Amino acid sequence: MENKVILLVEDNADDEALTLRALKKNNIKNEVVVARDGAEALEYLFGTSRNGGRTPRGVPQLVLLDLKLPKVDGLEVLRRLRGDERTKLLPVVILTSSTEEKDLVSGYSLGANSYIRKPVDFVQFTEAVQQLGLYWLILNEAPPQTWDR
Amino acid sequence: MTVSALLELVTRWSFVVLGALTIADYLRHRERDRLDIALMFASLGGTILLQDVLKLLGAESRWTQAVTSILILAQPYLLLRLVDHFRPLPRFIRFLSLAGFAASALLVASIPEPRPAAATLFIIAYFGMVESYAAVAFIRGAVRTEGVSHTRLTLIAWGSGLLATAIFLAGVQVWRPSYEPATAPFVFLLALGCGGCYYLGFAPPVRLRRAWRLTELHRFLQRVTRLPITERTAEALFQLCLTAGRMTAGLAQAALLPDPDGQALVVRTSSHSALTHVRFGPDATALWGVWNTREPALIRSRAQLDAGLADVAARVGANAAYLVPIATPESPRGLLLVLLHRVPLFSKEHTDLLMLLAEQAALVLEHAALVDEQRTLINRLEATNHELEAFSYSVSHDLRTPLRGIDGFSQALLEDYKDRLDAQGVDYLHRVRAASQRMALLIDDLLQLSRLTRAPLRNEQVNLSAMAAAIASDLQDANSQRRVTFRIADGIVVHGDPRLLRLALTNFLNNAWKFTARHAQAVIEFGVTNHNGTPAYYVRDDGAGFDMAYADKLFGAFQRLHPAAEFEGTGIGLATVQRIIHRHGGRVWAEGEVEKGATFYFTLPATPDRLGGQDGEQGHLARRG
Repeated sequence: MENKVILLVEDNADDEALTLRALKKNNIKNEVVVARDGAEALEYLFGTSRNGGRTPRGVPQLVLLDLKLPKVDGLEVLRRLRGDERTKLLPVVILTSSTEEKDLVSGYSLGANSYIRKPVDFVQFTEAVQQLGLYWLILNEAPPQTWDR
Repeated sequence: MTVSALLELVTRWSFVVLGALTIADYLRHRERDRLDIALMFASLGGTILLQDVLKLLGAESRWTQAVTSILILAQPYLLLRLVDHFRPLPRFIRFLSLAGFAASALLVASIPEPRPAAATLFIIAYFGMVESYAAVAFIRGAVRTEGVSHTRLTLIAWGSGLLATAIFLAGVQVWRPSYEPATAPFVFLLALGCGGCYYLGFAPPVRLRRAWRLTELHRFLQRVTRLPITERTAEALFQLCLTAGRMTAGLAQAALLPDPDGQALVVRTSSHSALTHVRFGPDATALWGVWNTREPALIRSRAQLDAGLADVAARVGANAAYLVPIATPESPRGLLLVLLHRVPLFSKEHTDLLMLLAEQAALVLEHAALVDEQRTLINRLEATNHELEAFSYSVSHDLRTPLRGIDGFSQALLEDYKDRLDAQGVDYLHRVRAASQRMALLIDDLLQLSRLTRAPLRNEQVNLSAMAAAIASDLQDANSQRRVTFRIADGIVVHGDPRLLRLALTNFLNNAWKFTARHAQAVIEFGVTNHNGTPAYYVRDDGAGFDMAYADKLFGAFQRLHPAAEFEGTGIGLATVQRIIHRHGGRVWAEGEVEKGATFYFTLPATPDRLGGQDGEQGHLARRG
């Protein structure tokens, strides 16, 4: 099968640790690449290699995107994602603690597939991640990869 | 008595009455203009009175006749003094009229009756020419002005014209005595007409003056109020200057307003280039005097003006001025400057009317200032609201993140280090988790509470019965094992914001649900009752109730009457509800008894327009958003 990398875009180290733990607890064994801000995320997805010129690392199967990121904001990353042919269809789950309605609206308007609010209760959080993993990685049919490796 | 004789009697006595009225007018107001007018009328009326009195007493003699005739002969000269108020009399006219008066007086004194026709004709000619000259002067004055002054001057001009015609006819009578029976009535009629016109023109009764003033005021207000508020200030000042100019036939008019630091008066509108952009500093004592006392002033000579004003006056050729304050009873706002060639005849009228109009202009200025202030405040409020919104947003977001960490890692400890923890350690970690989750709830509640007061209030018809039924059904579905009977009255419809009312009702019903949890069976009611004539909606339960002694604490934020262990909750619910109901302009209160249940009442205003005191500004914000 194709590369089943999960791209986790999260700036907070604690949240990152907890998310990784939740994924592990649910036996989700995919490789998880962590980007600490929007720029890193974009670099990972579209970035140039040291040699210059584009060398795509490969489109991940799922992107877990936080919204409040330094350098490049989560919504901006989403916008760029959806704007590029290669990543237009990529499943993106917004995983954020923001409860603002405008973020919800923006997220969906820009083409996120799903919007999940991170609960404070860790048990609930773990359940949420379990359901996430189950749904997006197993149940859901991923869009065909148009990537030319 | 013949018609002629009757008319003569009426005419003579009319002049006596007019003379008396003008003298009374002068005595009441003591102004120089009125004195001149009184003298002119008195010279006719008083003399006639004198003549009749002498005749009655039988004390007539040649000398008395001469004296009275000379007194009457003075009238043209006195009239010319009045003309002088409008335009300066050329010296030779003054000289001629005095000469004519002297000659006529001599003739009357030296030549006894019956006098030769030539003498009488000379006297008549003197009279007639002066009256005609006066008539022309007044007509020119009338042409140059508008409004009240125009009316009055026109009347005076008519008066002079009628008098001149009457005198001409009298001359004809002398020349052709046979015409006398035919022309005599006309002479008297014309004289009567002249008296009336002179009176109305020179010394109109108060009612008439008031009516004229009101016409001017009406015209002014109409011009100003048909404009939108932002343009009214300029127009009001402009119309003020215009009216002043029209009325007084002044040389130049200007409206002055203080500059921002209040030290100088600057010309804002003016009719003459010599006045544009002129500043008057603190040394312009005449101006500041009027500004402070808020009383109008008439400057009678250029010498009374201080340097700056005197210069301007000289440039324009003015020798007199009106200074009219533009002020409301509370505060001064500006000044109206009217430069005149000389002290006008109707100065009291002018200042009265100008004060009236200036006060209206001051109100317009005040209004504009208030609108500005309101706009500034609204802008500030909007800015504050935006800041608050951003603050709340980042606070809630930033506070939750570490909470997640606390809860998450506590759970991680519980799971991964389970074998290295004793019961006490596990308990501590559970408490840590519980505390952080509770804090998350608190943050949510606080955020909601603060957001409530900032969102604009919607105004729709809301069916509370249907809403209550829906909430009740949700509660039943979520906890189907509980046995609760809902009694919800039908057809309760109100005006308000549907989202907020739903929040309030949910809060009430949730509380009722929660506080009946300890009872095996419960009844929760929703209905409406009459409270002092207004409908009061209520939610009643037969659950845990509360002690009425603490009733006033119920609606305070974070106030709880039951420990958290018995009934969970952060204590913010009722504070939220109270905010919602208050925003709608209603009241909320509760009654209860321990273990017997509680009833929560709330009222809402009956009509949409009485919805919420805070809504006014929010409405603005919503519309401008």
